[in-house]
Amino acid sequence: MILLYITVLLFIVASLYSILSIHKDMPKYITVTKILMGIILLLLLVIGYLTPVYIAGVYKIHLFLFFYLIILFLTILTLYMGVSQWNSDYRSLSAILIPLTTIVAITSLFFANSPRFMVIDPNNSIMVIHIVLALLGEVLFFVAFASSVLYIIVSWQLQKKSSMKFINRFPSLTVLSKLTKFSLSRSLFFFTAGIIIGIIMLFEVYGNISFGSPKEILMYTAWTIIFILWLVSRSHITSNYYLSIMTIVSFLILMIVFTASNVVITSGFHSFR
Amino acid sequence: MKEYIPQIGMVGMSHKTAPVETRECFAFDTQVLESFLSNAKANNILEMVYIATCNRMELYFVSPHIEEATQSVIHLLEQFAGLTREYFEPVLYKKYHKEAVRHLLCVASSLDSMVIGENEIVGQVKDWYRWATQHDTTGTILNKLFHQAFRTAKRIRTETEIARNPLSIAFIAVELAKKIFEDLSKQSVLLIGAGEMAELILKYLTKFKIGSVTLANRSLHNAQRIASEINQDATIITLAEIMETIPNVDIIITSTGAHHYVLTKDMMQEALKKRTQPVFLIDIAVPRNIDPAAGDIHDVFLYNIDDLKSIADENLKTRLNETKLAYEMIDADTEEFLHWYESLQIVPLIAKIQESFETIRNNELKKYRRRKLKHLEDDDFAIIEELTRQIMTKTLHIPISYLKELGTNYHSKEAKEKSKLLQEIFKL
Repeated sequence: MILLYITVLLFIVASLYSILSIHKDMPKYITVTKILMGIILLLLLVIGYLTPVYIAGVYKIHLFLFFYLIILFLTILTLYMGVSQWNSDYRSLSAILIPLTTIVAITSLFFANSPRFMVIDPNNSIMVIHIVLALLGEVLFFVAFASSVLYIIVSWQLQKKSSMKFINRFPSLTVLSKLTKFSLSRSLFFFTAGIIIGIIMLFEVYGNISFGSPKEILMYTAWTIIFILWLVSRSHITSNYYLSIMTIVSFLILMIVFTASNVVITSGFHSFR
Repeated sequence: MKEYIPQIGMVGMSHKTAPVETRECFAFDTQVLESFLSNAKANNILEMVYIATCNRMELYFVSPHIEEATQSVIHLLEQFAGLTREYFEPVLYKKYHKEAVRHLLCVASSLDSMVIGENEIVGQVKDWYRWATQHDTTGTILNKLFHQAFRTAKRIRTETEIARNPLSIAFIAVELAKKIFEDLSKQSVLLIGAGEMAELILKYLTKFKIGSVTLANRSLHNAQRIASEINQDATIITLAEIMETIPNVDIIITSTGAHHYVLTKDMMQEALKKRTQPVFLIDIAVPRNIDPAAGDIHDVFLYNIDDLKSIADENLKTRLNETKLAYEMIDADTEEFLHWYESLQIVPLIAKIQESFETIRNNELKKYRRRKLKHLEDDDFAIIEELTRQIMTKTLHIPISYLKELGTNYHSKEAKEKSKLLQEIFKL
């Protein structure tokens, strides 16, 4: 628990540094941000190692573990951006990704001691693949949301026609729209794969492909929304501006519904007891 | 002891003090400069760097007698420029020690330039410094000073906004285009009409390897002239073909003499119906050629000449605001350099102590060689010589390290008192 608090604290510091790097435009801030994210990743790996999963012959996946995996994937993704084709725009992308990951990390604290869990049969490794793929889909949808927010910010700044001081610190509009489309297509891929694996697993274990549980309904809704967004991004129906607005609104609605349902529905959902 | 420490000085003139007719008289060619510097060396000037740009001429030098050295430099300037001292001395500034150091740091960081934040000056200073090192006219002090100046200039460029935002209208337009589009080589531009500013923007875009250029003009002759001057591969269309072209272009520059809107909001909406990518509209014309309402369409970014001018003003303001921070950095770096420079003051004391011990050692060795050690072969005596040298070096190691440490804080009263005490102890 202490390690988790330290990690969240480091996330807050890294968020402040990433925002400062945009505000002050000093390279040393981005270097500190990258170092902090590296330390955070190490801490997350230690937390993962220390979190009990295999208890009394069964895999017990606590609610916190879902938050943990999302945070872990986002941290890896943020670090990956610092060494990949996105590196030139790392400063502005990290300034939005890290604070948002910090919010998820802070939220996870409220679920850290939650007794709710689901049991995975040790002989059913397909379940783990299903969880990982679905979470990757969610994380990439989160990235599409972040780049869409940046698109709107840069677009507003360009419309305002004020000083270049502010917009100079952000990537170009086409880079942001490319990132949104890239994330949406990958998100759809992982989500689809996660759902298919989930259906196969249900059929193998229960002989049924659906139970109509709240979790399934939410999963299919999310997939449908991402699919529509992906279709829009591939077509010429609307401009990048409206695609960004649609992505932001869809993500926020799904986030609210997801969080609220996790709090309100305490049984049956995600098979948590 | 202080009179032995070389001092830093500079003389110079710039756009702030002298007109170009005076400045140009001091723009020496390299052959003249070689002769100038060898004359300076003969006048007890130990190190010297000459800097000449279109806005300034400055000479940085190091001498143990700085006042006399300054007079020698002025005399040499008089001689080599063929002008009387009375003619140029009123526009000449002279700075010593801290002021000279600070001035060089300001010059290299472009804080003393006509356009604050300009890029060229640091390169020009580097070129002149390189020339001086190649001609062996620099030494420990100026080498350290110029490297400090380059470091400070780099720091100011990277840690402040001083050079970041452009001031020219054409360059601002290109920078804005780069904030909308990732890669200009994949974008296309349409120039409607002609005009000095519009052509300049097109020139800049071509310099940044813009993908394709289309020219629309009432006069075919004008369009051909622009194409031959700026982009030979440009496509030429008539004004009637504009509407068919607009959906396929990313940047539109308008600069016609029309007294009505050439592009209206409805026309833009219609043209952009099937387009998902943003469009950048630059309306340079007065009266304006594009309906301002067109800028309300999402993903359409419309800038007229006043918008670009106000960004230029805003950028200038940002640069000026940043000068305060830059001066703070310069003051800190000046102090850092002077700290190092102060530490040099201990060097003569160290040299004198070493010299004094060496004299004692040599005298004693000579005495023994003549009497008690006269039976020794030269090789054996050389071993004894080496032995005594080693003993002396090791004996002095701790006190010299202490003195070097003292030198890093030489400006303090305590350090000065301690060094004075050492001089008394060793009777130096």
